[in-house]
Amino acid sequence: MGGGDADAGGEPAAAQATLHIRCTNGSKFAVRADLGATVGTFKAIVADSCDVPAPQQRLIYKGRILKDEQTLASYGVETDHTIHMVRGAAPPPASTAPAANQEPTTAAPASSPAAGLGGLLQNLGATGAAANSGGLGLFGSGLPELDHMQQQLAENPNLMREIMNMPLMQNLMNSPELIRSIIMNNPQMRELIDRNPDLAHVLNDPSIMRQTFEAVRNPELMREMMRNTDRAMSNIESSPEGFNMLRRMYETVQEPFLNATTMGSEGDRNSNPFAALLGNQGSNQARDSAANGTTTASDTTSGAPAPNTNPLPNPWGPNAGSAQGAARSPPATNTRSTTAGGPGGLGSADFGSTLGASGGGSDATFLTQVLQNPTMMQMMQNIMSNPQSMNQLLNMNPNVRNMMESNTQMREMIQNPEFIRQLTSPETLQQLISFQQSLMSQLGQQQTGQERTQSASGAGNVNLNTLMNMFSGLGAGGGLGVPNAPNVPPEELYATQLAQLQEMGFFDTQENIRALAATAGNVHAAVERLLGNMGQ
Amino acid sequence: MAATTSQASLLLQKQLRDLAKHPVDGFSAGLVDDSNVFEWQVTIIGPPDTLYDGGYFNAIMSFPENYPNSPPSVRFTSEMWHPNVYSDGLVCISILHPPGEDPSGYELASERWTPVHTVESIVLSIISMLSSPNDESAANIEAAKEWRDKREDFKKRVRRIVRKSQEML
Repeated sequence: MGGGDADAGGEPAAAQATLHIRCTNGSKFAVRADLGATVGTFKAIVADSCDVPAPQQRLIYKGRILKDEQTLASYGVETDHTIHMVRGAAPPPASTAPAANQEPTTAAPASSPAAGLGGLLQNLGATGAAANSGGLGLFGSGLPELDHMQQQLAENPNLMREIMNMPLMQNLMNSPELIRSIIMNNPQMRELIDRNPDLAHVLNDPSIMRQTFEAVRNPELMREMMRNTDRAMSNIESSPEGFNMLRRMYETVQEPFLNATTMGSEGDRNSNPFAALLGNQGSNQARDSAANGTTTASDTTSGAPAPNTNPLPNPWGPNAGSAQGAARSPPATNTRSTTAGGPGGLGSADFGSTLGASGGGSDATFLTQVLQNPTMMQMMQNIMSNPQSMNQLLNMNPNVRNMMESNTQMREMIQNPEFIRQLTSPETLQQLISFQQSLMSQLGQQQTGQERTQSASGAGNVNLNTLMNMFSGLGAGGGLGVPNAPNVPPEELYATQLAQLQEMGFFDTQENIRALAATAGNVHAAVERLLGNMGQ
Repeated sequence: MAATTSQASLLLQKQLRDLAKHPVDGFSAGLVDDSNVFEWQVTIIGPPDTLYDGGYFNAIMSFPENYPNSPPSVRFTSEMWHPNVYSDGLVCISILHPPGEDPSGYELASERWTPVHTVESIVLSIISMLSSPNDESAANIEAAKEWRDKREDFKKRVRRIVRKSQEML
């Protein structure tokens, strides 16, 4: 017994013990490990020496199965001792489940912002095409490649700001010629510019171009502009026959303008009603409208063949030019066909086709009587002469309010009693009523079956048209300086219109003067009136 | 008596040391408590090519004080289903029976316990028992009948205890 004790005491434990591992397949190998390490750590060391991974190892020593949490020393393992290892079953795959769960959550937020931005940019492109605005037109209406690039840039505001701050972009913005040449290289853009002179005007103005790029750089400003456009479109939709009226105005104003190349500069002013109606408000559009009006006024004063005695420019200047162009064609033997060809040349097929319909004629006469009703004229005069009523009308429309707030000069015009008095002069009202009468006539001819509804909606449209014409007229600030001559005789007042009627084939001067006086100088209405008299 | 106890203790300690340095395939043996050398804990690995393949069965070996003159008792602590193992886990093999003539006259005296047996030989005998059951002198009558008449049921039950022993790891 004493010898046994001496033998046991002669083997102190070493810091790094050599342990023998015996596998069930008969192989044996030695592993050096620290006895203070845990069984889990020891299994990792054993895994390096054999092909069994640590989770599948089952270590058995002295009849006990070693647990991963315990240390080797706690089991009494000593150097040169042998541990049995058996291969166990693989643990369940618990680590892959959370990875699969995380994948869909990461994919969902990535797609949502992209869809939102896609909708935003799609709306931007649509509003650009509908508004025919130069600023919005640059944002890829009809240009798929530009739209795609726009989407990529919009997703990264920092990238957009960095691109805009590059010296190259700064030079581009300060050089209108270079920008114009770049845009004209694109056939689609060139066609768009040819059909929309306003766009060319925007390209020639460095300040407008710079403001447009500022809007692109600032996402909040772009969002605000789009919100204003959406509100304007919804207002048009909510208004009865809003889109129909928009289309009629386009055919009445835009088509004659395109046909009259000699008087192209005056067309810019007529496009103002579209801008006001669509409500492309903002500092950019406001300055664009003001500059456009100034240019139009200067062109009108310099290019007018005769001194203009009216306080406001003639809104039917392009129509007169177009009529002259149509009249220059070889005259036909039949007087009726010649006179019918004149209005047809304006591009309004409906007007020509309904000219032969007796119902259309009577409807137009009815509308003329409604517009010339003394009660209607008195109501309009009261609205315009009362500043509070005028302000209420302006505040009802958010887009008009935005324009009033952004342009203090326009507000001063409204507040000026003398300007209001000139605006409400009988001759100016006559011109406005004639203009509206022309629109209403065409509207009525298309919907003869809805006479009563047409009258109700016509009354509503009168107010809207009045506001639009006021704003288009306000842009021509130079008109204020022209004095009003109420004592001009009809022969001198309607000299141009009389010449046009003579060329059309109406040779009775007295009849022509009476027709022009009844229609306040509207050539088309006078022609219709004269034809009606012949029919009788 | 004191000399006998000392002799048994020394012998068991020597055998324990030998097993630690030169282990034998198929089992691992050690003390249940380091202060008591007469209680051993053995883990028997299921022999390959047998019904018990893949299982880990724990057993307790209790040595008498007059060891090696008397045999130890071996009892499975893991669930075991074998014709020669009682329902309480006690192992019944010839070498574990006391020396002398068999009262029932079935075993030969040479087959019974002799002092030359060691822990290693005892455990190896048990492993051999797992490989080839002896149904003529059954300790578990039901297991013996299943093994003899309904081998498939016997196999299913053995597979169940093997799977259970794996889960206890």
